[in-house]
Amino acid sequence: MNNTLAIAQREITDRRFVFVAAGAFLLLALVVPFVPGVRSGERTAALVVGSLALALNFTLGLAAILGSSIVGRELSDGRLSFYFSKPVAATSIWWGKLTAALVLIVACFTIVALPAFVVGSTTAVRRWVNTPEEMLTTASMVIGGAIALFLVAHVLGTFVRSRSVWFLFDFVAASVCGVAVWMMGRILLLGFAIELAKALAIVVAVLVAIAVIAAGAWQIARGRTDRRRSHMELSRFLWAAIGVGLLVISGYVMWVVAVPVSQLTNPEFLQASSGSWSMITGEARNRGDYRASFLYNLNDRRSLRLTGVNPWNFQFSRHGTTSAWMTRTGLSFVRLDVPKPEPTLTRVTGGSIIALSDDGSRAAVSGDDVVAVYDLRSQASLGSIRVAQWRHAQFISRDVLRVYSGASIVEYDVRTKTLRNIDPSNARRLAGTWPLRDGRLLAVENRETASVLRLLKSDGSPIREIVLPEPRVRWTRVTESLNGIVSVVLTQHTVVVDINRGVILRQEPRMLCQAGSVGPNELCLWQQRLVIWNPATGEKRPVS
Amino acid sequence: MTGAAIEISNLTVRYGSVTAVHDVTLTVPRGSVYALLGRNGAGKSSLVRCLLGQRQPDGGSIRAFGEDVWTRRASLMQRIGVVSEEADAPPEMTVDQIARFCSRLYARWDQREVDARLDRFEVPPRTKFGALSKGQKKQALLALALAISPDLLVLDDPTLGLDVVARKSLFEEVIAELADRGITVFLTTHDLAGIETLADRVAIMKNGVLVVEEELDALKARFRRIRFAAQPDAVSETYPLSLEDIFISVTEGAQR
Repeated sequence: MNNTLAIAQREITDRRFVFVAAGAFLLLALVVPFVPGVRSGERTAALVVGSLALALNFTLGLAAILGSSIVGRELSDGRLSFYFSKPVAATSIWWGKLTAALVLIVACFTIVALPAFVVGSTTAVRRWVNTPEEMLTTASMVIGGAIALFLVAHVLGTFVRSRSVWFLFDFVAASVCGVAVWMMGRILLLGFAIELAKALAIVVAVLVAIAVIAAGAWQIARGRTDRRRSHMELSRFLWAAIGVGLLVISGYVMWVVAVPVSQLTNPEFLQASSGSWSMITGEARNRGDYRASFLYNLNDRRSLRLTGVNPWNFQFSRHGTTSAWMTRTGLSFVRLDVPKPEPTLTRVTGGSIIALSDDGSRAAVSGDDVVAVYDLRSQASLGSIRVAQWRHAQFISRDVLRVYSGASIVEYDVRTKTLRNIDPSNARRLAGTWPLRDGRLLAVENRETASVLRLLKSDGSPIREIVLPEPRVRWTRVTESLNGIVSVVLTQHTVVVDINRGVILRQEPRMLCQAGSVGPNELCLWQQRLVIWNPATGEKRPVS
Repeated sequence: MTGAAIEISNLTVRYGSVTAVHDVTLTVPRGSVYALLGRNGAGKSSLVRCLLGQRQPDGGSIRAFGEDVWTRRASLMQRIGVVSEEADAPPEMTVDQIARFCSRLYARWDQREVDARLDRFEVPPRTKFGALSKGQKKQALLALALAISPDLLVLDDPTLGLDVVARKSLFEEVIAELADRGITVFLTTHDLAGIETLADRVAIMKNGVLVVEEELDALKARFRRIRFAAQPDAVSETYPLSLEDIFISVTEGAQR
């Protein structure tokens, strides 16, 4: 410890001229308020900004110079042998140099930024130094950045000055580590794990900082005065430490990503209105905010892991034979009526997928007030229309897309490239309704005594009303099956309604189901667990 | 004290594909003055760096006072004074400041001896090390190295850059005095004349290989020049070669 302090003191003494330079920058900061053009009312703010800007630049510059010279230059100049011919441990040499660098960085930042901290509380300059907490945050950020720069500069300084072929190894190792970090970040962000990615980025940064500090000690202890061996030892330790750390982190990321469908908590799900496939997405315990997504077959419990799927940007075709979803990389789709479904990424990009044709061969994609129709197999655009504020869309046939916008309903025929307006007088009245495949409309309406399900013609004229079991419905989702049966998901119940006969076939309290397909299975959330529900028998089986 | 001050066994040092020191084995007895000679690039400095624990050998081992110099360097340096070939002290510090710094690192430190020696060498203590002449730098480093009363003094080409007076002072006054006090001296040098009367044992390196390693007297006895008689009936006689002649003979030609 005594030797470490002695070396730190010597290093500071050797570089005492930086205090003079810091003093000169301090004087420069004091001159800033009196530069022509600064008004008298702005002088305090100018002093704060000038002082902080100069402190930032000086500190970062000093950190880069110290980092590249404190070991690397002494190695190349052959002056590190001065310490090694003394009875001091290699660790004392490294820690002494590191301590000296930290003292110089902190002291010089404090000197140059002093005016900002002294008068900062009297002026509001972007909330940098108004309160002690802000001052601490600002100082921590600058000094933290400077320390990071110092460590990076130390590594690069050693590498460059050694003029060793190990530089090639470093380049390869840095590239591999960079790609590994990028892949881990990508895979997490595709699962919307922004907070987890941030946390792991901090862990990686701390890991790298610790690795560089420990590698520096190892470099001095093993490489000593030989600059090439010093480089070799630094490289070996640094990349091994970072590699092991990244392996552990990537192992955790793989574990996060490999979450089984049965461990999802508070999942969201969509079920195809026909067939047995559903899409389940959700987070899991100890896996941060990573959202795993699956295509899940309710009949045989097959699952297909998906990446980057947002449930609000996912569609099943009405026949249940195809699903499609939009990610940052483009539109993907998967055929579900084959023995081994495999996702296909298309060249189609855009804001979101808003509808799939019944047979799943065509997709409507919206973006920037334009709705375009694509053929999924050929990935060719079949046509597009400009629609402001679309709300909902559906294919009423293979060639005709009906789009509900805020003010109107339009039908676009991709075969003839014609656009047809539906009676606009009904548009306002039709807002808030749920369109059925045959053009009829469903609406859930709260009345004083009860909530009702209203079946309307396509022009909005009523057909019949069915009283629902909840008096006040706050949230509703209606999905139509192929045979005129709809599931109505209410706040506390899921009810199955035959809309042609106007009767409620079945109701399940405290169960939320998504789909409209009545039997043999539906995917539902019951007592916070995903269950496969058979509406016909009422049987509930856990998802696994 | 008994045993060897330095034991080098099968030392090998490589720089990439170049072998600087190849399988060198030598022993330096305690209290002796040991001179390692060799032309530039012979491997002397590599050997000294290994001896001081500054470089890990690629093969073999070096022990000082029975301890491995690579693993026990820090503690061994309490007993070893070093004057390196390159004046490696911080150039911005004065000799005084360097002495104060060193005094904090050693258990034994005699500042009065440093002051006296600097005074004798006429090295200004308050001058920055970088501003000293080459010879003064060496003298300052020597003064610092001797302040710890070392058991072993390692001098890597100590007379390089010294004028004749300083050279004489170093060899005759310092090394001889140290040797008299039983301090082991290991030195590498080009100044063969200076050590001829001091060295007990001499080693000569050539292209990384130790080609000569024996007592100086024995070496001189082995290398003799024949003076042929001018008259046919006169007797030819032999006389010893100088160390310089032996060195040239060994490093430029085959060993006789």
